[in-house]
Amino acid sequence: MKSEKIIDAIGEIKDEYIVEAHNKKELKPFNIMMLGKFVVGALALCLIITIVPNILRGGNAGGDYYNKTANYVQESYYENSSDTSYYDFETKDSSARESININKKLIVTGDMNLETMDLDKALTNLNDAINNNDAYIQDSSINTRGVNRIYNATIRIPADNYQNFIGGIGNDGNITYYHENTKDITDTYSDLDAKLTSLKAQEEKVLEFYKEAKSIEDLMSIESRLSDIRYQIDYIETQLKNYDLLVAYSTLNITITETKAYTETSENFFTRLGNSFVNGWNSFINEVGDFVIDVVYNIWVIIIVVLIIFGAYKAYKHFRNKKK
Amino acid sequence: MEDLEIVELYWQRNEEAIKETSKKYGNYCYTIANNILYNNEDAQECVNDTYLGAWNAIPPHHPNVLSTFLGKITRRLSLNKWREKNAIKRGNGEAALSFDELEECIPSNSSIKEELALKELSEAINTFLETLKVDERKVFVCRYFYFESIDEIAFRFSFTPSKVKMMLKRTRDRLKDYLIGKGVLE
Repeated sequence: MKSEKIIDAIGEIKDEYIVEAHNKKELKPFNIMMLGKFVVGALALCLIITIVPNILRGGNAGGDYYNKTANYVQESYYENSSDTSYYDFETKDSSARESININKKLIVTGDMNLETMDLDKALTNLNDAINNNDAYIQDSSINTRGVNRIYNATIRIPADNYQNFIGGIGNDGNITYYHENTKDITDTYSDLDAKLTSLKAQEEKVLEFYKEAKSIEDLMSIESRLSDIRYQIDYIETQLKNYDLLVAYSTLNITITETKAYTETSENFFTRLGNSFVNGWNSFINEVGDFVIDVVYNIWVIIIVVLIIFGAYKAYKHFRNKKK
Repeated sequence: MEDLEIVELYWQRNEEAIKETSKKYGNYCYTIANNILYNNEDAQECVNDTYLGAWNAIPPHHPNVLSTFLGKITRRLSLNKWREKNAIKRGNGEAALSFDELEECIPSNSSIKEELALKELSEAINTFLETLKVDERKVFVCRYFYFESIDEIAFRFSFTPSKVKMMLKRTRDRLKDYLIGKGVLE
């Protein structure tokens, strides 16, 4: 082979060239391309590791999430309100409701978004308002994920005190959204009540037949009918109790967001544009913060997966070279 | 242990010299042998022969750089073994590729002068290497002295494999022109 002599001659080149080529200072553990690939790969991996659990867990991964449900309050309400067949909705505090007939059965539901600069203080005030108005928290949660904490709650307020309550908590921050819905169930309630009266009359009649029954067959037949009527009475009474609760206690779904600056309500285009920019930036910072927290949360998984991939890549390269 | 101390052990005919050489340069020699032979047992055998070669050469030799001294012995022994094994069939590995690549340096209708001593050719190549840029020289030496693969060289110097291939191609073309210009070819 013609090149053999050159190969042999290269074997005798100066020591300095040989040393220079294998100078360990030149060795770089990762070349830039490989590093780039690894950074992209690691980021993609981070995204997968952080996003997939979020999706699987319904978007609450990575943050402290506290949730409590006050079912016991509902139970105690049933005990206290069992004697009440009708609740008369009084409208002393609300001029809007003055036109509504006092015997109307109305279910009031409100949604409110509130901004506050001091969430702890706002929650203390909220609890005071709840105590002062005989309200109770049906369901609440606080999400401390990210820079801004978000408190969500479903509050049940006696219908009489609803407007007082809303007025009170409105002072704790900036209301960015409020929606109130009033559902009139008077007709439904009256129908159910009439049906209940009718069923009770039937029950009395059937009981009279029961007393006069002479044969076993008659007794069996009457008993079956009585059982059917009583089942229907129970069912309607339960429905009426539920309606009573909904009418007696209005529902407010409230979201309190901790913020560093209140959202401006000005209609000026440039102010809105500026606010949009600032809010967008704050939102971006929050998201980045969340992402970093999620990455740190999953750091060991990421390290292990990256090491496995790196090991597999090196092994693949080794075997491929060997095969050559 | 410092290289000078190891060489001193050789001069004292102390067998510890082999042990220390193996400890310090065993992997280095093995890498060169394995790059050429692509066989663990053969590479290991060449490394052991390298120690024997060093033992026989020192004294009287007194190497300035022990690593390159050992590397050259390993390379020579490994190439000899590779030639023996590939006398019948064409071999594989980086050595075979390097031979093929360097064939380009010699035009098809010519060859290196028979009477030209290895030392003279080596000096010509040293002079040629001097004319190269540092990166080009390093890549050339890694490829044709150490028989490293393109990927390994790319990894070592943070180049892309295609850049390494291109650098080698240009260097070979220049070597060809240099050898023709020096009258090395007949």
